[in-house]
Amino acid sequence: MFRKGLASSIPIVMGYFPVAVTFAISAMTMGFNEIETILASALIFAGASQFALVALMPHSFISAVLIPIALNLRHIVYGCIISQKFKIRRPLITAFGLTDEVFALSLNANDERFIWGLEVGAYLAWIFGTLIGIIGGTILLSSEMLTPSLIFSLTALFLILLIPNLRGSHALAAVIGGTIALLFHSIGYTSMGILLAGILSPIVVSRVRICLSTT
Amino acid sequence: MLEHYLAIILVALGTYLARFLPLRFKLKIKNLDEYLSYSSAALISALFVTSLVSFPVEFEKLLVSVVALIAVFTSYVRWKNLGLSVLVGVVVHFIVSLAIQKSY
Repeated sequence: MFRKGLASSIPIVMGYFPVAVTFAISAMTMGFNEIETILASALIFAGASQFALVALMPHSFISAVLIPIALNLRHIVYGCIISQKFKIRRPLITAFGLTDEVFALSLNANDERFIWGLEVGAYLAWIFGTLIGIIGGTILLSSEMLTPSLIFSLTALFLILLIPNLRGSHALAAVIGGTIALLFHSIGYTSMGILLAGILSPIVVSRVRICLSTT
Repeated sequence: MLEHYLAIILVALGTYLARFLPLRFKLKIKNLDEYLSYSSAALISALFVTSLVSFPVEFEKLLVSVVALIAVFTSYVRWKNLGLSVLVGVVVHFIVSLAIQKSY
């Protein structure tokens, strides 16, 4: 089952590799050194939150820690679903690599070792991509002209992550969250705005949905 | 910097616990998935707008980013490849920046 999982991880590997390269370049552009960059990929192993960490570090340490963790709270739901599907004997090991994509493929699994295969493939691609990005980033960052365009990779990534959320009530959550963040950003409280966006937007959306359903 | 290492370790720990605790204790939480999915959408949107806009607004920089974002959006809709779309965005951003600089 482990080998089957490893083979099934190929689409994840192909998707993760370029993102990991981009992460490494972005991290180094934002002032992280080579060791910090590889350590982030090796220990965190969660794409969007790693990007959030490096993007927010210049603003505030608290936000750079809290917001990536808040982004990963959705993994609680993944764990709930997987643990009810079949028996997890080694949660300490299985939990480490349970990313969005691994979770999605795990829904077809009925053995924990299949998940381990998926996780090992995905993790190796993530680490290897980060290493390649570090090597490439060191060369690319020597160009002053190119640095603003490399920093733009974060904005591009956040847009791509936002696209699947632009449907139904999630679009409303995105608009409310974006507006709150922009207002606070304009008065210099960027990280506070992002935190409030994550906390308040779901409450506002729920209220709006209740209002619409009663009218 | 020590702050960077500390942030990496804390985020890693938070991420790991979010993955581990429900597997270990077989948590069942009602309505949490809906709240978290709205919260994720709002957070990503917040990260997007704050990385795009800086105050005071510099319209040239914003224009370059908007043009590059159109390229990112178009390539993602066309190929559904995250890494490729980011690369397209970076290249377009660089080319448009150069073009604007040369026009002055």
